[in-house]
Amino acid sequence: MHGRLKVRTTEQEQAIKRKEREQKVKAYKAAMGRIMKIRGNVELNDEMLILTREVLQRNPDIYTLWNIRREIFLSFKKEKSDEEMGKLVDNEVKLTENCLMNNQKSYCAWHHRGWVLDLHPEPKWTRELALCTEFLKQDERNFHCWDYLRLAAAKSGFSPLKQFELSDEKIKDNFSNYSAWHYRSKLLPLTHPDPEGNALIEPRQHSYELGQVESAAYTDPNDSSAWFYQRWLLGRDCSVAQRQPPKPLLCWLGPHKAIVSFSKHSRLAPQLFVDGQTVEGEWMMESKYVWVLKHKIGNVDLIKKAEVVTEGGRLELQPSSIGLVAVVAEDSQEHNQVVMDTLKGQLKNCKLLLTLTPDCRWTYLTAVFLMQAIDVRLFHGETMEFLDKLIQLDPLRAGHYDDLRSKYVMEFKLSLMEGSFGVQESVSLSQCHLSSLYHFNQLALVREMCRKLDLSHNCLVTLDSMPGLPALEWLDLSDNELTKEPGRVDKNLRNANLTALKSLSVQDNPCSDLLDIEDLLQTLSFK
Amino acid sequence: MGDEFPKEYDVIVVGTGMTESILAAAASRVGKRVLHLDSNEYYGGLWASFNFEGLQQWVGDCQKPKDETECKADPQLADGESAIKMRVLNPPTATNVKEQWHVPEAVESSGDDAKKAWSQEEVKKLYRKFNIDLAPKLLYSRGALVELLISSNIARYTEFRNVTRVVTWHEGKLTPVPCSRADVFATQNITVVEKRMLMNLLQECTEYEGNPEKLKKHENQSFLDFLKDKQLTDNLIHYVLYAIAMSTEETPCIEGMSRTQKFLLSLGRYGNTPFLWPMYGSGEIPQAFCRLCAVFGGLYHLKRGAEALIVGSDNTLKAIHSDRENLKSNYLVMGLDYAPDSFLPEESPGISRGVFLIDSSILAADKEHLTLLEFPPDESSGPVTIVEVGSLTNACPQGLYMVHMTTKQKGSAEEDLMSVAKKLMNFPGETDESKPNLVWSMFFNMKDTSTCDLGANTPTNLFLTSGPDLDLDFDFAIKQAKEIFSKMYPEDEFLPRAPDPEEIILDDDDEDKQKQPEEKASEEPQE
Repeated sequence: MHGRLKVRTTEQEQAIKRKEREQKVKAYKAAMGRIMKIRGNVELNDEMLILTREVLQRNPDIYTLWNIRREIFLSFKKEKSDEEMGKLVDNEVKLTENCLMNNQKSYCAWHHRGWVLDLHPEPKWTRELALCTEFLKQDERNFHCWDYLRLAAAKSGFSPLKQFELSDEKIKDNFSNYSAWHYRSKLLPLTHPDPEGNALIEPRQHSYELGQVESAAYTDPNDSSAWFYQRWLLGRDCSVAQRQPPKPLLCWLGPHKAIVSFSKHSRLAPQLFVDGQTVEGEWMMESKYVWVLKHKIGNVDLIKKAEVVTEGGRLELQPSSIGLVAVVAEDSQEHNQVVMDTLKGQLKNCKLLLTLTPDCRWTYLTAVFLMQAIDVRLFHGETMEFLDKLIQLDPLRAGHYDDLRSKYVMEFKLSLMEGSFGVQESVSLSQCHLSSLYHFNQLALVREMCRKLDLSHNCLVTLDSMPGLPALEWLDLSDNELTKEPGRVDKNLRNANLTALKSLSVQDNPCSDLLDIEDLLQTLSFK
Repeated sequence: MGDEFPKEYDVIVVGTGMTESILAAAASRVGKRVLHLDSNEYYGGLWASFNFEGLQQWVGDCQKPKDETECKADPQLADGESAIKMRVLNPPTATNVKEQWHVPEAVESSGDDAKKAWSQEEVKKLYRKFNIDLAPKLLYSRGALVELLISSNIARYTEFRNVTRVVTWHEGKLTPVPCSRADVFATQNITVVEKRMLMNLLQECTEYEGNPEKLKKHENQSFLDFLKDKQLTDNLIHYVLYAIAMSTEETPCIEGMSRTQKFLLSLGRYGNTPFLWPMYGSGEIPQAFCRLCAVFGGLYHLKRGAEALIVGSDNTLKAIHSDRENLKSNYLVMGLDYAPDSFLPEESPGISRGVFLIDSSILAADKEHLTLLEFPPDESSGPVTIVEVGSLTNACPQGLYMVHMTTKQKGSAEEDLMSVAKKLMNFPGETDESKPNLVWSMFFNMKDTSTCDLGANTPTNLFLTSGPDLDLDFDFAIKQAKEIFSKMYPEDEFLPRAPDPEEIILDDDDEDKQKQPEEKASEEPQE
C-alpha cells in the first residue's frame, strides 16, 4: 500500500520519443513520395487533398503543399457550384485554423487563409476579425496576425475607428509593440484627418499621440518602440512640409550646363526659358535633389532674361561673375510655427528626461534628431557632444553615430555657406571628424566651381561617395584613414572626374606608400 | 477494502489546515506511512472555505458555549505511559462572531431595474455559489507557495485567477495604483515626470541588495524618510509606501525596500499585478496538498479525531487513541485548534476579520476586477488588508461582490473594521450612489498563533502547527512546515517533484501494449 510509484527513467522516455520521431519521419516520407507521384493527376484530387492536409497539419510551413492545394482550388472554382465551393472553402479555412493553433507564426497558413477565403461565394470576413482578436490576446505582438487583421478589416469594412481602439487596447496592455504603433500610423490619417488639410493628422490628435509617446518614454526610456513611432509623428510623412512641392533653392546657368537644386526630392524636371524660349535638351536627374541640363547656348552674357520654372515655383536668374545665378536661402522655417513649437516642446521633454534618467541612448538620439530639425547651427555644439555620449553609451553602434556626425557636420557647414553657396572656390572641411562625405550632391555649384578642397585630418576610410569635381585643382586628403586595400582609393579618385587636378596630398594615410601621386595626377588629367 | 485499518504509522496528522496538509503531503511523498485525521466534516480547519450554508453551520458551532467535557476514551496503557484526554468539543475557533443581514427577507421582484434589489431569500437560494474564506490569502506570483506548487507538481490540482488591480485609499477616495509598467504607462493620475520618478524608484528597489554601501546610509532611516529624500511627490509616496510596499510610516527603510522588491519581482509573471487568488477560495490550497498525500498512499479520515494522546515516561508521544483503538506513530503533527489546553501558549495576539457581501464593486469599472486594497492606517484603525472578489472567482454569485477585511486585533472585529467598512459601502439608510450597498456582513476574531512558541509544552515528537497569520500570503505556513519536516526527516527532500500520470508505469505488461499500435502504423506508409 505504501509502495513507491514506478516511474519511467529518462532513458526509457528518450527511447519512446525516438521511436515516435522515427515513425513521424517514415510517415512524412511516404506521404511526400505519394504526393509528388500523383501531382497533376486531376482524377486523384481528392486523395491529394487528404494527403497534403495530413502533412500540413503537422508542419504548416511546407509552401509547396499549399501551392498544390491552391492549384486544386483554382480548378474547383471552374467546376463546382457556389454551394459546394462554400463548403470546400469553409473546410480549408478550418484547416488553416488548425495549423495556426500549432504555429501562430506560420507565414504560409496565414497567407493561404486569406487567399482561399476570397474564393468563398460569401466570405465572412467579420469572423476573421474575431479570430485576430483571439490570437492577439495570446500574443499581442504577433505581426502576422496584425497583418492579417489589416486584410480582414479592409475586406469586412471594419470601421477604422474600431481598429484604432483595438490598437489602443493592445498598447495599453504592453507598449513594447511595434506592430500596434505601426498600425496606428496607418489608421490615424483615416480616423483623425486634419480638417484644414495642413497636416496628415488633426493637430489635437497629433499632440495626443505625442503624449502617448511621452508617457511610454518616461515609463521606460530604454524601450525603442515608442521612440520609433515618435520619429514617424515628427517626421516628414506627417508634417506640413511634405505636402508642399519641392522648392528650387539654387539655379545656375553656365555656357554649356544648367543646374537646379531643390529643397527635397524632386520628381519633375524643371524647365529653362531664355528670352522667352524653352531651352532644348534633356534634363538629367543627377541626384534626388539636383537636375542638370546640358545645352549649347555658349555665351550667357548676352541673355536678357533667363527663368527657371519648377513644380515648386519660378526663379529669375541674375548675372554674376560665374554666369547667371538665382539663390534662395533655404527656408529655415520649412516647418511652420506650430510644428516648430511641437519640436521644441519635445526637445525640452527629452532634456528633462535626461536629467531624470541619464545615460539612455534613445533619449540622446531623439534629442539629436530634434536639434537637427529645429536649428542646425544653434545646436551644432550640443549635437556633437551628444554624439560623443552616444558612442560612449552604445559602442556597438559607434560607426552609425560617426556617420551621423559626418552628415551633421556637412549640414552645419552648408548652413554657414548659405547665401554664398555655389560660388565658393575654396572649401575647407579639415578636422571635422568626417568618416564619410555627405551632401556633396546638394552642393551642385560647389562641385562645378570648387578649385580647392581641404579634407585633411578626418577619418575617411574610402572616398566612395566622392562626387565629381571637374574644376578641382587642389585636393588635400592628408591624415585620414584611407584604406590600403589595393586599387580602392585610386578607383575612387578616377571616378571623381578630377580632370583639372594639379595637386594631391595623401600623406599620413594607410595607403600613402601605395599611391604614386605623379602617375595618378597624370592619368586623371588624361581621362 | 478488506484490509484492516492499519495501526502503525510514521506520521499521524490531526487537522487539515495549511501547515498540517503540507506536512502530510511531504511525508507521504517520501514514502512515509501517513494517517491524516480531522474531526470536522470539512477540510481546512481554520483555513477552510464554506458555501453559504456551510458557513451558517460554522457560525453556529462558534456560538456554542465552551464545553470542557472530556472524551470518554479509556485507552490501554503500557508501563509508564499516561493518557492526555481531549475534549469532546473543540473550543470555538472564532470569537465575537456577528453575522448580520442588511436587506429584507424577501422583496417582490420589481421587474427590470438596473440595479438588482437583493433579498435574504435570494442570497440563500444561491448558497452553493459561495466559497467564503475564513483566512483569505493571496499568492505572490514568485512567492514561496507558487514555487512550491510548481516544483512539487501539485500545481495541477489548483486553479488561480490574477488579481487585476491594486487600489489604494488616498485623499478620501479609492484610486487604482499604477504598479506594472503597463499601468504606469496608461495612468492619467500622475504626470510623466512622476512616471519616470516612480519607475526609477522601483528599479532601485529591485536592485537594492547589489549596493551595500548605499544601503548602509539608509540603515537607520524609515522607508517614508527615504522616499521623501528622493523628492517624490505626495502621490507617489502614498502609492509606494501603502500600496506597493504595504508598509506604514514607521517601517524601516530596508524592510520597505525588500517588501517593494518582493512585490515587483512577482509582477509580469502571470499578469499585471503580482498576485494570484485561488479559485474556489483559499480553502482549496490545503486540499491540494491532501490530495497529493493521498495519491502517494496517505490515509484520510474526516469526522474522526484523537480522543486521547498516549505519552511515554520519556515525554515522547507513543500513540493516539481514536475510535476505541490505539494508533501508534513515530510523530504526531497537530493543528493548534485541536491541541489540549496544556499544550497551548498562554497569550496570543488576534486577528480581526470582516466579510461583506455588496451589490457592486467598491470601485466600479467596466469589467469585473479582482482587487487588492491595502487600506492605510489612520487614527481610528490600523492598516487593513482588503480583497474584493467577484463571481469570476467562484467565490460568490453573479451580481454580488465579496469583500474580505483582515487586520490586527485591537478591540472586537466589528470595532476594528467598522470605520473602514463605512467608508467603502452604504449601510442601510445610506444612499451614496458611488458606493455599493451592503447586503450581508459578518465579523469575527481569530487567534494569530504564528508568533507563539509552540514547542514549549509538548512531547518531543509532537509538533503543533499554528493557524492563519496576518500576512497576505501563505509563506509562513510553508516555512513552518519545512522546519518541522526537517526536524522529522532531516535526510529527506521536501516535496520533490511528483511524476505526471504519463510518466508512471501502471502495468508490468506495459511494453506489450506499446508494440501493438506500432505494428499497425508501420503498415500504412508502405502502400
